Amino acid sequence: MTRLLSLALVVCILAIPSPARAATLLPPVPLTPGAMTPADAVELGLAQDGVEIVLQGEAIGEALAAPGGKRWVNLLGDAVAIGVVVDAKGAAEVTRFGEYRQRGATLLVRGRLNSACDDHGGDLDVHATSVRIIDAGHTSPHVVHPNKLLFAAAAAVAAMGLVAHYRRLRRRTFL
Amino acid sequence: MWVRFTLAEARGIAHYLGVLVLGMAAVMLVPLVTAVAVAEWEPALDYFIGSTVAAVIGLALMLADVTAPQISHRQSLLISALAWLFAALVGAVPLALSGNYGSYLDALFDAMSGFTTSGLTVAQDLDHMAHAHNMWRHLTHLIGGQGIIVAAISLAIALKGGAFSLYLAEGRDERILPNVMHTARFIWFVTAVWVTIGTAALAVINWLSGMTAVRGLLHGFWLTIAAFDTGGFGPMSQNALYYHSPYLEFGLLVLMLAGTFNFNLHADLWRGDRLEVFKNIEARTLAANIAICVGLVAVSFGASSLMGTDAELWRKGVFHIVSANSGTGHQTVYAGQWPQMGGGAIFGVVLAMAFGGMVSSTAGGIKSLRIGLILSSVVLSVKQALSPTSAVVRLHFHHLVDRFLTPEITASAFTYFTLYVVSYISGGVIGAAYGYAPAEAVFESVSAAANVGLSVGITGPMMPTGLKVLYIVQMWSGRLEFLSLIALVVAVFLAIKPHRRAGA
Repeated sequence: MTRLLSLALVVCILAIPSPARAATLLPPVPLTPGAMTPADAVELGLAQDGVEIVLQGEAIGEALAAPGGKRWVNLLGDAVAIGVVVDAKGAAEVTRFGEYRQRGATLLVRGRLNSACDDHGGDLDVHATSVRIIDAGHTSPHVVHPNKLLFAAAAAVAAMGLVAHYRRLRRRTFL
Repeated sequence: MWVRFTLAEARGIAHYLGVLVLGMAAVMLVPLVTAVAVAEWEPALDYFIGSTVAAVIGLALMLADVTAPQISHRQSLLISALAWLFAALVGAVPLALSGNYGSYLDALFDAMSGFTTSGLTVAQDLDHMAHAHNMWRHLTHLIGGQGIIVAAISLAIALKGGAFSLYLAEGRDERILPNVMHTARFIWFVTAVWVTIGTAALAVINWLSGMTAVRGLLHGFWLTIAAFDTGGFGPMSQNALYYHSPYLEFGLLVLMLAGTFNFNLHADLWRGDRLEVFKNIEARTLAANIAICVGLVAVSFGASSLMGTDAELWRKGVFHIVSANSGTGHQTVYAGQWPQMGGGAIFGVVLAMAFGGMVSSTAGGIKSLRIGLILSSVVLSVKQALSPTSAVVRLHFHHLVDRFLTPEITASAFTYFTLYVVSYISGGVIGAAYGYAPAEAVFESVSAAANVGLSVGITGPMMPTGLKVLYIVQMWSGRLEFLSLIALVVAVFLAIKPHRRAGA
């Protein structure tokens, strides 16, 4: 019983939320009235096909080539991303895409939601009829926490000490 | 009689575990260099810490016995089982520091998923993850796909004596070349060829799609590793769907099929013996399994109002069946879309995941060789039943060489089949007990235990802690094909069980 309780305690300790998480999360741009997030759009796409929607999300990665001279822009919101087909001119106006160093531009897209798009191999996607940039995006702060530096130094000293001790023991054993 | 491990044996196990953990410290220098190259300073520090922590743990374990003793077969079973756990434990350290995981347990989940080439993930904000962390996540596929022990053997790390025992204990059934070190190096050679070709092809596709040179190359490399090592991680939260590219999906399809091939078949192809692929019971069973599952999907799509075009059958049907059968887990649909694809499609995917790829490959699951042998044993039984009692009925099969189906071979196949099925069902029952729909719970359980990585949406940062632990154990045991892990559980049980005094 004691051993089972010890195991449960270890699991609980491992599952303690990481304090680093809060520091890296950036507040999202507030949702425009009448717009839905990509997560909502995917949820709606599972139930309805071909509906007109207004979608708001952060452009991530880069604009990718799509058939017919159009571009794919993937929009992220509520931890879900969805592909949006936009014309090349609209995509070119987006200059900042979300990645490690930056939060991408927030777009407000009006378009048609396809549950399984026949033009794009069955993808659940949105074909945009209009695109508006409501936030240009910005760089993300990544500051090295001093505690990390202290821990790194301590670990390096411990590793060097153990290397020296191991080599001394090896010499003593084989001499 | 169960025999306890002596203290000297335990020290030997600790020493070699330490050697392997020290190896992990060295591999972490790759993401560290990546971070420095792309000026990601905070992740660079994460990998400096991860590498030094691994070095401290590795050296501390090596101190248990500095003489580097010979190891026995039973020690090799425990080293193999613990090597994967320790690799995940130290591999999780930089991930936990990244800020993309809710807790150390979440980072451990992804590390175990990476090393076991499962591909299930609980990472948060993946679309803003640093290149260095994505490099490490995908490198875990590369190390785990080829095998942690294989990696150590191929680098001639001092694993005295029991190299072949360790190789077998890692869930590999056959050696390709007479010398186990040459076998390990051949596995890496085949991998290097495929990874080079795959990276070049996918990078070109990415550049043509509009990615920058660096991102296109890195994504090409990561996707190649994830596909060939049948892992399934992706650098973006949409996985393969992010790219919206039929060319990229075709490239992944080829790499997934190559990854699920037995390295012995790679060797035969390398030697120019193409006929082996057509004669081999394992290749034939895999081909039949893929064909049946694709058939199920086609029927299901035919009845569906949403999916029905040829492009949809290829990009959503064939792609996911190969992804499931090879144990990769690359996905181009949202979790909630599975029901839209119809019951037949879901059944086909679960069947493909459960059966898995070939033995001595990077794939998971029961393995098509065992399925083929079990089906052959059914044929043999029917033949015997229909023959005169005096007749001696035998059945031969071809797997690298011609062999007769013996009761021992059949029993071995049935043993592994039973262990996998028990794991699939028990995981499904526990998932259902947590309140998930039984079909979804079984899907996710099969995906974890067969090291696939497809998900119906249960796996995520918010899933219950108990399920995270369950899937970690399922991924770990499934990758080792249970035997090494059962040996570890028995050894731990015997070690903590109080000694009975004589006459008491």
